[in-house]
Amino acid sequence: MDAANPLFQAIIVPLVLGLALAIMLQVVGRKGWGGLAVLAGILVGYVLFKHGVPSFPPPQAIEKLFYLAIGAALLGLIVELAGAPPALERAALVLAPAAVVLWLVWRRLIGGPDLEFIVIAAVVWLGGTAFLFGLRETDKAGGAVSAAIAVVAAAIGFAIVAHLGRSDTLALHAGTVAAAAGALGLLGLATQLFAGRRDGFGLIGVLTAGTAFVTLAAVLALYTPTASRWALLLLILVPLAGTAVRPPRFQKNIPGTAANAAVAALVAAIPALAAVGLAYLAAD
Amino acid sequence: MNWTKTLLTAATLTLAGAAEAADSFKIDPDHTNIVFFVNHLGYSSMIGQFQEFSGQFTFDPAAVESNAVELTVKTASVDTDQQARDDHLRSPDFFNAAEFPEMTFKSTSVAKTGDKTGAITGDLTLLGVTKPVTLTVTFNQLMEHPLPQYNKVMVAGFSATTKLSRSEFGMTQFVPYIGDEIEIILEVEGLKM
Repeated sequence: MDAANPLFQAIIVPLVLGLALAIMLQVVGRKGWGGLAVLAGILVGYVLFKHGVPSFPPPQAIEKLFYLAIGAALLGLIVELAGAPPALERAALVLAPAAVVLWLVWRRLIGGPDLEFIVIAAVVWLGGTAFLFGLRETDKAGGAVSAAIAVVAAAIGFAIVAHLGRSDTLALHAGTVAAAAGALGLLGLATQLFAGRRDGFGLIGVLTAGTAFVTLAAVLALYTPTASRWALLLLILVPLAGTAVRPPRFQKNIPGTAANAAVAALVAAIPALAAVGLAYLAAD
Repeated sequence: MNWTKTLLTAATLTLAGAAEAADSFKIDPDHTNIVFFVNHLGYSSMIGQFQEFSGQFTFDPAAVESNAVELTVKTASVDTDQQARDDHLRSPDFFNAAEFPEMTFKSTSVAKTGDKTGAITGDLTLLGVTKPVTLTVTFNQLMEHPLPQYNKVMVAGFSATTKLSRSEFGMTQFVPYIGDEIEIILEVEGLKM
């Protein structure tokens, strides 16, 4: 696979870089900042795949992904440094998708009111907020492995929905988010198996990965009329599925940890597969 | 002597004279084509065109530098004769037609390069990015339309070409597999307004 291959740029490099950075953060005693590895993976994948850093302010909605991911990570870092009081944490989970939607729609709204567009934007904000809350709960309950599984399942489901909706660019960006989150999940699995410690994504990781996903979802819903918006709604359920179903917790040994991960993957896969199926039926 | 009044009068007469000399033409979409060529994986050039556009230009053969042109193209009208590919071209991967329904060209200068040739430089705005682009133009002819139903309207015809780099406008997807350089050919007819 050569360096110019989009799959190499969007998936392999973010996965490897994210894992390396996450390990480095662990080594220097900053495992709570593992979410920055997710950010690094997303940004590097973007720069490689899109051939550079977008101008600021970026004219296209999809180019805003780069800066929204940075903003989300910074927001998470600020809240973490402030001690992560619950009210501030909840406010951040609401504010991040609101910022995504507002930045993506304001120019279009200046041109004149469009009720359908406003309704879609509102649904994206509400759905994005639900996604972030679900991801945060999944992370708190199951750690980095569960959170990574949720993000990977949602992102892969999104990638297929986007591809069926004629946007391979959005699909590849989703692959980058999956790879970056997957990197932190792999490290989480390793520390769980061999160190007996369950690390999480933390608020930084949740906000970064979640906001990146919400940004992609917003671009698809608002600016890709050939894609299935109903399928997109089902993907919101992916992190919520884990919190709603409450899968059984197995023993904290290697087989138990593997079983927990498998159950989490199965639960996350159900709404993702449903979304893909709906998008397939809706595609021309 | 009131120099201000004299200068203003002279300026007004000059502008009026210039406006009168340069005729305005509305681009005839039924007899105008905007075609582009892009390299596909090194095998061949894919050909596409835009079906919906509008514009106008002023033309004074005696004062070429004073001429101007404006063109607006509906990006969703991209047509490569294959529905799936056209849907893909309209997506955020390429023309992002839902977010940027139009691309525009507005001339900033016109230069005469030969008896019937010229160069029109202008601002092309595509995907929210504005960059200068220069068209190499050939003037074909200016004459009354020969068909009676056109009521002897004056028609001006031009051929133009240019090349641009799509990545400069933020359209970077799949470069270099899908070529970065786009060749554009315009065959334009305008009806005098």
